[in-house]
Amino acid sequence: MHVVSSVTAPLLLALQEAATEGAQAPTSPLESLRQLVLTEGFGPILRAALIVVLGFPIVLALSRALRRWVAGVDSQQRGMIAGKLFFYVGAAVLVVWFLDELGFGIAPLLGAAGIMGIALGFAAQTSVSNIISGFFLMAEQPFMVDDIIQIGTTVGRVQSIDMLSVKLRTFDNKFVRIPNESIIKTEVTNITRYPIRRLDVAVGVAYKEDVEHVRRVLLDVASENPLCLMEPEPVVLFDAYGESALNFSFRVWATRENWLELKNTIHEDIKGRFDEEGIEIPFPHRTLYVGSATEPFPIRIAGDGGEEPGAGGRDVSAETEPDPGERPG
Amino acid sequence: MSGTPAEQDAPWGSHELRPGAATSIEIGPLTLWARSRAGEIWLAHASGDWASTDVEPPREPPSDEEGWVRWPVPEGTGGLRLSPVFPPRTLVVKPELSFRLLPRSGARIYVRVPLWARVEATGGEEDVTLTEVPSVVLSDTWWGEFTDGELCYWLPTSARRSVGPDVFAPHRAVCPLDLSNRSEDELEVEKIALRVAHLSVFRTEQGLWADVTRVRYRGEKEGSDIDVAGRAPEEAGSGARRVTPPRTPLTKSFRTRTFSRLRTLSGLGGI
Repeated sequence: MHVVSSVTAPLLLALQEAATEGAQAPTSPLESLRQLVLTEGFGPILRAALIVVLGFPIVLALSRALRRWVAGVDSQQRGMIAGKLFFYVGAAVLVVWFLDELGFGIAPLLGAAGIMGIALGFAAQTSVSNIISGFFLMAEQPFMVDDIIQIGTTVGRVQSIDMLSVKLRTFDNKFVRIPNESIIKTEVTNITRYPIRRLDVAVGVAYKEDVEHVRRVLLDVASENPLCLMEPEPVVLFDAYGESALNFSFRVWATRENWLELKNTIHEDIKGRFDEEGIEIPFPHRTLYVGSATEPFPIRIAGDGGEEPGAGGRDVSAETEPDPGERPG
Repeated sequence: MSGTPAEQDAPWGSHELRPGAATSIEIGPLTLWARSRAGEIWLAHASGDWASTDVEPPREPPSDEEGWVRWPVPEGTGGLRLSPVFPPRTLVVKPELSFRLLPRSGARIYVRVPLWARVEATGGEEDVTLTEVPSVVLSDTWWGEFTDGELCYWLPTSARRSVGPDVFAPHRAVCPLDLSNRSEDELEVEKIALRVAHLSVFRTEQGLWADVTRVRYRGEKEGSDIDVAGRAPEEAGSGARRVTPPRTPLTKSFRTRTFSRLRTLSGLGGI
């Protein structure tokens, strides 16, 4: 009640004074309005309105200017943080100033805010957790604006790191919002933190190929591709004896900007050189060996006459033992 | 020396463009085609490849429009000027056979650096730089650590100890490097960072030269002091004249890491 009366009292007083003056000496409506504006009681309302109408746009414009300036002299990330801090502090000052102009006492308000804060804290645990996580993210800086990161299965470029969430733009142009709390709890991979990246190319060649020859050809391919860094030097590792191929791991380096282009070109280069050198890249194949204890597999050559199975040769399926798990009949 | 001075200088300098017709300019393995049409200059080029020197460069201009780049130029432009410039990045020079410098000793080596051609349009109110193209495409390499460093070009060299007539070519400049080991340890020279941004190109009757780079190795932790002579080397003779100033003039010596050993940057970088 006290709050309501403190707001309305000056206004009522001003109107009353204006009415009294009007009764004493008849004046024009314009003069009445001027006197109303100039009266002591109307001043705070006018100032409060000015704070809202002018103050907030000014703070917003200044925060944007600060953001641009810091981004120019430092980084996008720091520009964003500086702009946001300026805006939040400026907005808080304006709110306090606005309330003060209207006659609200700051001390009771802060007390009420404390009690409300506890109530709101219980009600908005998730939001508060996100805000605190946001501060941790800003302080720890596992990634910056414009970095490319992977969180879970989502890969994208960081657009902004806000109080509640991080916004990503994926490469198929989707907007993804990830709450700060989730990021703090999960593994984050920053793909573009370091200036160079390694590309691992799995290469399989036929068993008949000379391993040393393959190694030499792959290193040649690396040296002939201008995007492939010569230092750290390319490496060919003989990885494993695969089912159908000798498996190599061909490891080359590129700058993060050229990594994707290298990935695209190096595969073409390998295929081209292998074709030139006659190195076979085998398709998966399997040789069945039935062992010496069993009879050789019967072979039937199908003729053009469209003979029925079993007529010209032995039907293999008829002679094989049934699978133990298979139900007869 | 191969060829007369005029022949040595021929690819560089000014070239007049005939309207509508393609002009072909060869500088070593680099072939540059240019044509002037309707207030524009069109350029196409084919550079050499450091890894396969035996490949014959194409002698015919690209048949379709895809291989060409065009620039609207000021009225009156009717020619090109080609200037030899050093590559726009530091070169990591890798001697084919590494060598060792004993403590308190030094050596001069000569490195042949493939140049770039700076192409300027001339004849208008003022000359305008159109582009720079490499005579030889060099491979990228990294100088520094995995987390921080500098993108450079890779240049294998025989690190000659003397200059003979066979080292000169229209597309290459000879860079003398004075290396001295001021430390108490033996220095194994595996790779050298040659900061060509600070070098000028000088022309003599023999060919193109760079000024002498002096590198004084102080130790593994201390790094190396580097300075550039700023004038043609004595071997170039008195007739040498500067044809291109350095991209970044060096006013005083600076200290940086110039030598790298194999252990410094492991090839695997972790399995």
